[in-house]
Amino acid sequence: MKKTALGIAFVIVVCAQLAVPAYMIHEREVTLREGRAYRFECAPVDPYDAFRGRYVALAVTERQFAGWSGSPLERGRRVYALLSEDEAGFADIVSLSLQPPAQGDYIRATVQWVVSGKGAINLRLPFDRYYMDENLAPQAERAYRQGNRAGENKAYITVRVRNGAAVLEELYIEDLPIRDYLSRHPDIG
Amino acid sequence: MRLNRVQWLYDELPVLVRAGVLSEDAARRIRQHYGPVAQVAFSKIAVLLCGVFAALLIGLGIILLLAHNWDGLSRPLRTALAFAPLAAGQLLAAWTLWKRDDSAAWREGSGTFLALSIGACIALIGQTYHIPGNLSSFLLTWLLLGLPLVYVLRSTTVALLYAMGVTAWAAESQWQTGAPAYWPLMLLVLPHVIWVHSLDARGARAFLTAWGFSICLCVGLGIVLEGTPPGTWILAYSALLTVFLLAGRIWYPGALRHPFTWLGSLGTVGLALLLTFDDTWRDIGYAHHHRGDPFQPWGAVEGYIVVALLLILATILLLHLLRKDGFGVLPWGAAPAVALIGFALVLYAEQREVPLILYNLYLLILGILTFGDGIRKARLGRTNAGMAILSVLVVARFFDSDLSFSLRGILFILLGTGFLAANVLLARRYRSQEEEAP
Repeated sequence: MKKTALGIAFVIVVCAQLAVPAYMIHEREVTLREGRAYRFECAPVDPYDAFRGRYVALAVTERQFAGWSGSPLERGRRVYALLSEDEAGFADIVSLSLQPPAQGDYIRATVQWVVSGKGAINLRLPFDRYYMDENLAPQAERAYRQGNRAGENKAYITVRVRNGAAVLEELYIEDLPIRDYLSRHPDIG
Repeated sequence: MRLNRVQWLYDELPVLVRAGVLSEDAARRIRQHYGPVAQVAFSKIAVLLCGVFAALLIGLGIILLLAHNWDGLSRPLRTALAFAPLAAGQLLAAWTLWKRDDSAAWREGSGTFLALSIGACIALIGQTYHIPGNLSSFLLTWLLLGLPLVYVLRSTTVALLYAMGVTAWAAESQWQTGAPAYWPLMLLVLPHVIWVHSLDARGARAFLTAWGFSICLCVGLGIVLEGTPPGTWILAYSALLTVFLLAGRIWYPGALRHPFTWLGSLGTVGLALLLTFDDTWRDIGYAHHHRGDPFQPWGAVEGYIVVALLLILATILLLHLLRKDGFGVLPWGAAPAVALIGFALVLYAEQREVPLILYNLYLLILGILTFGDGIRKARLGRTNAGMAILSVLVVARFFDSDLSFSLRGILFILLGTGFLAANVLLARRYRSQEEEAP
């Protein structure tokens, strides 16, 4: 009896342990397959902040939204950012709302901080890092830094968006995926 | 440990028989009553620890390998590999439950491996899909998925990892969103701790859980206490350390190396010493209350409840010991009362000097009574402990430049008077004992 009860409990535990990572994967896979791709320009970053361990830290320019006129928002509040594309083909946040918009592509974000008196809100977007092989990450960081500092080569990321979910797809420098860029520029080091 | 006590008794029996204190028959019946000394217990502990250590090393090694970022592989393959250690851990745990349920080494080892595999799986999925870093939610998910293993596999190692994980989660979350869930999360593993102690209160597992959870509670309390008002930590730690000390005396009497006794006594003295310094009392009171993010109202309410419960528990345990063993424990058990008086004086009367004098007197009395108790019972350890308390007090005051000369002078006079009084009392006691002796 005790062994049966333990067995049943173990099966429930195993199902829960498999279900949580499976759910994480499912939502992101569906977003990658069926979501619309948006390009987010990356801002120049302090080189000492760009690299933390085995990933490249990304500072997306479209993080601040000016023109919030609603009730004051506290840090950590969930908001929904409606997206569109500008003339250059990069993503632009056109509005913020506290409920999911009825139409259009939007992403779930959280309020990072509020610039008081100006109606500007800094958002924490659901993509802030790009994981890479530990041997390539330092080169990627240097390429990313050089591309941003020179101002000539735009570094940007593509993000698939669907029903509020956003999954980072790829990091580009000079319109090349980062690994292709590094293989064509072995002199970066 | 029980093992050593039985062995000691068996070693003493021939001496007692030769001295005519016990008959041979009585010695034989004593040996029959306690049975053979279980020498094999040590080998079982060794096997258990080796199994757990092996599982820890393998689990950590797999995590490190997976952290290498195998981005040369396709996403589906990386996703499948992310589940590999988790699946292996689950199969191992299932086999253990089916075939080796009676082996603590297998249950502990498989439980530890599976618990670590959960973290590896979630971390690798995070890397594969570039999920933003949120250490707090990652830890919480890992903890909640691993907790059931404590009960299904009856694994104390997983329970200890869980307690450390909850404390780490609290440290990460407190500065962001607060960590009011710390206490409910710790309570979730309490039934296992109670079960381990009910099986064998002096066994290795009970010893490890007592150490692990005591330290986690000491660290966690400081992290999650909102400090409303600032200085509440004085009451909280005073009560917690007293609860440890008194619990050690009630449930583990004579076990001087038990973590409750160690932490309780050293912690009480250390805290009292800290509170003899002026700087410690500077930021106490409503005037120093912090405002703004991330103050958590629920955390403040929880803090009040936790402090109140600890004070009540300390009082109950003290009253129990006073009824059972007399007033000997009163100096140690009075620590929360001293903290309450000092805290109230600073909070409401904005008076810092009286609490300083109060704590100096308290340590002086504690040191003298401990020293005297050691002399009276001819216990060198206790005598030395009393001397150590008095010595650190004297040294601390001598070098305490925050106090004015006049206040230091008063304190030294009080300390010296206290020493003299103790000397006179002890001398009178020894004289009357010598006069009474035949």
